[in-house]
Amino acid sequence: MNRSSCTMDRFKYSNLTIIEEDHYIRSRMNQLQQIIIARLPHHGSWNITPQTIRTAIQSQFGASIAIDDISQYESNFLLQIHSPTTRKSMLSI
Amino acid sequence: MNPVSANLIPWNPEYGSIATLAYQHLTGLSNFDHNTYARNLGKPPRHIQIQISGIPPHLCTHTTVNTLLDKLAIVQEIILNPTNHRYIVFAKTHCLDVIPPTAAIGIKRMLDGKLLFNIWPILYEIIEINNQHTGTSCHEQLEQPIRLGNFTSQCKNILWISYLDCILTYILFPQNKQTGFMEECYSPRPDDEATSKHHYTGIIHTLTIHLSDSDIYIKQTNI
Repeated sequence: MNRSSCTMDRFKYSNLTIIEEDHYIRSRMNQLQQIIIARLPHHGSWNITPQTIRTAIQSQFGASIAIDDISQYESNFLLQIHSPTTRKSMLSI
Repeated sequence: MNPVSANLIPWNPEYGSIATLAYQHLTGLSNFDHNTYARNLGKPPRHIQIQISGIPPHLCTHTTVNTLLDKLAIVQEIILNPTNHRYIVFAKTHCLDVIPPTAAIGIKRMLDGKLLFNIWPILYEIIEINNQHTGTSCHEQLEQPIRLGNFTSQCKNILWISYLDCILTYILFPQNKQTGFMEECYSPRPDDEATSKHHYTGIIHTLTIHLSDSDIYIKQTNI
């Protein structure tokens, strides 16, 4: 495992840790190629749940997505879309 | 209920990060082992639970968590909540007073021969545990949160600094104006991504989601 870290204590980004990109991270990145980000506006607060997102996708694209394939990252949602066709449809004009 | 708009964009490894020139930070980097130092001073160990949020999905590995906390604590158990990419970490530390409420995680990248860091802000929410964690449920053992302070304002500070960095990067790399915010300007990288360039693919797809109580309507907009 080739990973090192260094911490920046007093400069701009306090407590910065640099991660060395390794096999595991590259593997994760390959998995995440299936991910579509549903990016919500920064301001405002809504009670949007994975169920709500699933309903929206079903309504718009006729695609079924498992709840487990919807996760939250910060204020946005990550959608793991296994089907290339559905993924293309969701990202196409 | 008013409509809520969301953009649908493909994930990319820079999403949510700020790209900044690495050389600005290299001299400030250190590997000081706070935990060992405090232990050698005779400070007693304390058992804590740390919730870590903000780690980007592709960096969500146990090794990343161990690396983050390497000089601050001895990690005993790591639990990832896959629904929100937040970690719960049980650890023992001799330097509780040194563990910061906010931090940053970065990854190296080469662009046009320049070493950059892609940096994400992360938050530590720390709770001290009365008794040693047994490995199953510790919620009944928890004391009051000791460090729930000024997360929001500190995050804002980090973001302001990030934006200033971004502007600097734009000035230094006018030919790569997408450098600072890569999230909509990403094309898949080859295996040797650490040395590859990023090019904007040309089309940005935006979708607007309208919520009406339980109903959701989506329309597409091209920008």
